[in-house]
Amino acid sequence: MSRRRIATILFNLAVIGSAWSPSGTGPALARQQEGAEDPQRMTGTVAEVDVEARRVRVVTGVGHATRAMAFHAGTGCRITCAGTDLALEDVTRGAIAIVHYHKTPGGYEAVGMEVRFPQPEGGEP
Amino acid sequence: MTRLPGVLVAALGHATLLLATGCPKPVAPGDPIAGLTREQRERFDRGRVAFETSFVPETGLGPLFNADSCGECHEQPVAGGPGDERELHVAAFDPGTGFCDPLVDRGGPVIQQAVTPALKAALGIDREPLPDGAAIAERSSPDVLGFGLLDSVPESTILSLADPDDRNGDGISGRPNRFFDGRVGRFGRKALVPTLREFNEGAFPIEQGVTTPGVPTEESIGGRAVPAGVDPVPEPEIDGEVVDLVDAFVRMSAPPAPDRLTSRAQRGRKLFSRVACDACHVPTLRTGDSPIEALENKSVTAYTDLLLHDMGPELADICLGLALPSEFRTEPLMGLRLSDSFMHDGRAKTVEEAILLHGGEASRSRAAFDRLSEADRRAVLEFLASL
Repeated sequence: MSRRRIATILFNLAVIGSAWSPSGTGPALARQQEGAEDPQRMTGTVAEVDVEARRVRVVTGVGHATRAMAFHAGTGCRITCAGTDLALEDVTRGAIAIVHYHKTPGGYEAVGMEVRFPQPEGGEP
Repeated sequence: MTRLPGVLVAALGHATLLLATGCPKPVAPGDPIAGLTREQRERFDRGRVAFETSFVPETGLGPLFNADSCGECHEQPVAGGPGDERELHVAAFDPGTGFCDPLVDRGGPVIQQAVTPALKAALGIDREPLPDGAAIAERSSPDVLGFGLLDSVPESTILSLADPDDRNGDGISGRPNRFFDGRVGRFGRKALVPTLREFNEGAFPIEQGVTTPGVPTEESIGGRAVPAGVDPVPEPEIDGEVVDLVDAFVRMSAPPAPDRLTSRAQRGRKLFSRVACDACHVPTLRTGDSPIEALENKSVTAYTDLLLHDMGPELADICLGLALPSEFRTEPLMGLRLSDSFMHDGRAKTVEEAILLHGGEASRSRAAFDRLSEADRRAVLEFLASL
């Protein structure tokens, strides 16, 4: 059984924290990007992973106003799925990620990433 | 003594009858929901003004936009009703992985059809360029009346209607879409957007090019940044109060009351159910808790399950979130009589044409409708025309 599969099962067994709970207010990009807390946090869908450059592009937005944020996930960035450590190459397009990051002069530096892999809810594929 | 005009006499008589029988006044398109407090009613009225206010470049319009006000597209016969505008959405679907790319870095998923004079002068374009190779979808402007009630339907209700693996074997397998962060969606033709607030706030930047506190960045121009000097207003271009007011107007707009059913329309309603249109167009949903008491624990005759259904390859266009190109959210039928074109892209000019365009999971119901006698089909259509 692959690490990713184990991590997925662990995630599904885990008690889902408040970060995953439906919220009545939803995300606000301003709050996510310019909030006072440091590191900041955003949640979205992974659209692209460049393992070599250690870059991850995550899509989020407000309603149909969709925005993408690109993060550098250096070797110090801890990536987990339901508490299990993952490698960057285990993160795939379509995964949902909560990214903890700092804004730096060079861009967004991810310091932690919690990912989950949505389970199919019917339909193809 | 001056004689009153006949119409006035009839209206007075009707009003007297309503008072005498205690019947509530029928909800007209554009009315607020019943039971608002005076303060809520005041915000509804102010919200309608904000909804109809036109932006210009000096107040935030553009540099890319589809319309200069909410009311430009949601307008018939009242603010919040449907409109005849069409817009373009794009995405790229990878069948191998099932991943849907909304093409954010190439200007997607909404491609704006107009530009400000300053952007035209800078780039020489009349609209946002379409990304090469993208799947393209047309979208009509729906009415938004009654959306506050849809927003108040508990997520658990939506999930309880889902049957993704068609375990009951009825050929219908609705499933929820999910937003990019995993929350259940319900608004938009692909049910991507989880809440009405986000649906409304997100419309400012994508439709009018007006940035808000929640979306303080402009749309890119086919993925390129806005050239310097073409956007004179600092971000965000409107404050939260404008968003709140528009949200209040949409949230507290009542769905138009269905017309009183004739006996033929009553028969049509039964036939609508007999041919199983109501398997997806679920007649009523119940709202749950709401900060607005008038929206709380109400039945909403919406004729939708807010779920995605496969509508077949003929209608397939773009993916969005988890929605496949052929999957669309069941369109609410409340207020249907206000529209003069139908389906997600307005391709059908009549309701009958729209029914006959249904494919995929709806094929069985479409065929059953088609097998009805002419008189029975007319009855179904008369029922639908009452909504």
